[in-house]
Amino acid sequence: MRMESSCLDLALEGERLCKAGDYRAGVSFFESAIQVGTEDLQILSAIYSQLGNAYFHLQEYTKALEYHRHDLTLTRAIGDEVGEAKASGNLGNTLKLLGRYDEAVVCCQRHLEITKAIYDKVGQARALYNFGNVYHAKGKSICWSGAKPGEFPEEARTALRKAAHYYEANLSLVMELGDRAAQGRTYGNLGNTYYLLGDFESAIAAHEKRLLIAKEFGDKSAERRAHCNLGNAHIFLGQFETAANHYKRTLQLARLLKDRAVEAQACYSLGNTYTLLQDYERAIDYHLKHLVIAQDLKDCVGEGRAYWSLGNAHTALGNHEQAMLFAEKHLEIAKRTGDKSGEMTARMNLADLRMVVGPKSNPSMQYMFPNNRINDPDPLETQPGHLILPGVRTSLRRGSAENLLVIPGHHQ
Amino acid sequence: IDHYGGPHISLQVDSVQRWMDDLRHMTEVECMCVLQAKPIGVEEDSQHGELVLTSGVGAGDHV
Repeated sequence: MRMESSCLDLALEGERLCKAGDYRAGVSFFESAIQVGTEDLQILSAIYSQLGNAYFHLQEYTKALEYHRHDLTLTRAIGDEVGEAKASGNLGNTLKLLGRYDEAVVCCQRHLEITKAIYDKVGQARALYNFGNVYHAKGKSICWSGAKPGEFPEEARTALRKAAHYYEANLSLVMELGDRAAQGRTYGNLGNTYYLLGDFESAIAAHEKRLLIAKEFGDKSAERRAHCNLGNAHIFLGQFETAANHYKRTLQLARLLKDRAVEAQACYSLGNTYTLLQDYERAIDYHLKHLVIAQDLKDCVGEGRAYWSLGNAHTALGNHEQAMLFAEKHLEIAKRTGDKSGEMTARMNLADLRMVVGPKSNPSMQYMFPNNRINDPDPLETQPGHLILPGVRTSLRRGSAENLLVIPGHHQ
Repeated sequence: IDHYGGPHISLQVDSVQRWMDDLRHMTEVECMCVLQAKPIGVEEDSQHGELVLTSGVGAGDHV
């Protein structure tokens, strides 16, 4: 009897610690509780489950998998269907994060079957949401591994269509249940799924609803996410003014939430959107704002992008000397970060600009970049404007909006 | 123009096009993981022991 209460006490302490956010300490109490052991299999199931969740929080997914599996085995052995449904859901989430999508699908299926069989609508809604998330993650993982940017393999599209199907099923259920918070989450995920599928109108409709619910709850983070997603979708519909307005709201909210990385991203998006609108002065203004934050955050990739964009915007305005300064900075950072593609781009831009500005070095540049060997001969720059390199998209040589093909409403 | 036998270098000169290529994959995600808890202690306020958490994995895909 003493041992029994000891296991329970240890488990209760583990639970308390996890609730307080100290998962590491919680884990050791749960593991001690298991060492002591118990005959109460419901308590043991709860310990396994909480231990699995604690490891999940600690991002130790292999350990999380181990305990959620123990929980599933145990609940099956004792015929606890409600417990089995929960264990299946948790296991599915863990497998998803480990990239084992097919096994995760089997878990989601079981979770859904049980909740349907016992007429548990709340559980069913959760199972459908998890199902959607697994297919969404699967689709996205295939998207990312796509050979070319903007290309989505058929396998990814199939997974994303399934994700949309489960999110839609979840949505009708949470609407029936009147769960507004859950509706908000689902609209957001559904919007993202439509977006990845290239259905930008449906994406916008879903994100507008997500935005509405975020406002109802005063959830500024969710509001910020919705504006950003809306901005992106409007870009691909060629509605740049509307996109700019959403990005401006994103920027305001990022500042309110003191999220510098998101603030930088919003400035970068605005810079690019104003380039599409051929308002290069505004574009420069936002790209400079982005640059300052990227430098603050020591984000070299972002800094390189900012120089590249600033160079292009100045080129578009005919400020070739300014453009050269930024192309030099772009080259410098690309070399430093080992960004080969960026380095080539910067060299090509510099070569083009030197043709316009003239071969003589500019004294102001020497002043600004005393360490730059501007007049060094460079093999890549001996044939300015006429480089032939494999894979170079020569039609895009001059970076400006005219070269962009934006087909409104284009569905991939 | 890949017949030169050299390594294929993916090079883009237009920064806006590059941004749009990235943007095409970018989404600001909602909470993607809903774990369910099995409470040990009996507490009235814990509603059915639901535990919602957002995972950092696969999220945060900004430039």
